[in-house]
Amino acid sequence: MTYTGQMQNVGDLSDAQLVVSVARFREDALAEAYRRHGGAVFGLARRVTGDATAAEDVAQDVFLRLWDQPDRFDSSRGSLRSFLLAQAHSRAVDLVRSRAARSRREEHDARSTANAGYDLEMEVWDLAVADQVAEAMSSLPADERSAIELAYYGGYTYREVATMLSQPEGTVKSRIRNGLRRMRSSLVDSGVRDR
Amino acid sequence: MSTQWPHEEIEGLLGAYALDAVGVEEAAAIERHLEGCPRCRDEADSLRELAGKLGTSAAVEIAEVLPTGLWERIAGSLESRPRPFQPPAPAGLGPFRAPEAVPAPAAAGRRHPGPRRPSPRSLRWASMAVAAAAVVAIALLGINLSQVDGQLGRTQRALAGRGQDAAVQAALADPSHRVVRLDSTEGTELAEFVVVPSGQGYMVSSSMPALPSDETYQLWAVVSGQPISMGLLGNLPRRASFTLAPGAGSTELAVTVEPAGGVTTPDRSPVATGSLT
Repeated sequence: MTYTGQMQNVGDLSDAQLVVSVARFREDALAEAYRRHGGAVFGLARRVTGDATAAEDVAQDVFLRLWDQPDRFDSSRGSLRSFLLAQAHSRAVDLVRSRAARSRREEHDARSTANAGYDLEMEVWDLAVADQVAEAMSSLPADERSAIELAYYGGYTYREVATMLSQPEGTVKSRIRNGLRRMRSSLVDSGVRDR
Repeated sequence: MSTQWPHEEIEGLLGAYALDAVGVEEAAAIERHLEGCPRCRDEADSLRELAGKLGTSAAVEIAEVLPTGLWERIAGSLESRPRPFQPPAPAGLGPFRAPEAVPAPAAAGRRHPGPRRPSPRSLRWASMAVAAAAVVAIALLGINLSQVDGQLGRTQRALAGRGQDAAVQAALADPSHRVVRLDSTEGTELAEFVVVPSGQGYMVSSSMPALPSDETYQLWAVVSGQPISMGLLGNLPRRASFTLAPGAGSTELAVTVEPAGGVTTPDRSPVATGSLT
């Protein structure tokens, strides 16, 4: 964004600059953030809730919250993608936990009709990340991997995971942590950077 | 529950915390601990970042595409959001001549909040009718200025040092960084900022004296002779970060002393200035 009279194309802005523009009430900046990260936000919410309608609500919440409180994003603490996904994840987990029955387990394959709108370039990058993450994940010991998957994708607390796996809570807790740290270093080794 | 959990206990929970897999009480205890423990905070940030990658991976894995109409739903509800206040369109902050000489750009996302009222002032700054309109809007809405101000005022408290040291180090390590020195009118150095080409800037040192609690320092970037608020620095500035609009041609940083909530238009002369060019 520039104040010299003409507006800079939001497509040229970094994520951090985009949020500054959102803070200045530029709807096109929010649209650009949605274009870059909406697919991931929706996809993660869909994965955790197993429900496309709930995922839409989560995505809407996440982007409206960015609009309302852009200052909550601090670029010195991480990427916008991770910030938005952390919010999406926490919303999705709240939804899941508030559901008495975890009926979401029957993941219906209702692929929503969709439009393009998921940025192609970002998608390529996402695919690369996904590959590396899948590889890092698959190189983990099985007990660490399953603890992480149940916690993150399943939306269970580590205590619930411990019950499900019939393992001590302390063990599950450290498996999650050790597994994440292991993944982090193997991702660093394979050159996945933040963007 | 004890007031403080032991460090080791918290540290052991950080993985589960990054995955939202801790209980409510645990989350609260961890958050309290993070406030005062930079090491755990860095670890938590880093694990969150990793969780973000897991999230991206999950999203791609199920090849989800955005549902039709979701963006329209989001955009449609923006209008009714009680955003604290709608500032003048950004282009209204262009070089000041007279209000009618500042056309609102077609691309500006938000509408102008109200009538502009020219109010010439004999200041060092060019006066700003647009900002005057913003003042009117603020007066009408009774909103908290610190909420609508630039990035700095709002993030600075949250920053409170967290992660900023690393950011400052990174800025200083950037070979194209520039150090901007702000001097008082007498030529005494009052603060130093480091600015990198992306527009990100940080206060690296300050000897600005403490102000009474009902006053604050406010930072401005001067663009075309006109100050744009970069946010509030508080009454005893030690740390701050801000973002200059890239390509805006900011020529100067300036600091004024203002009432605690800050102002949209400075009507006092700067206590310190430094050239960006």
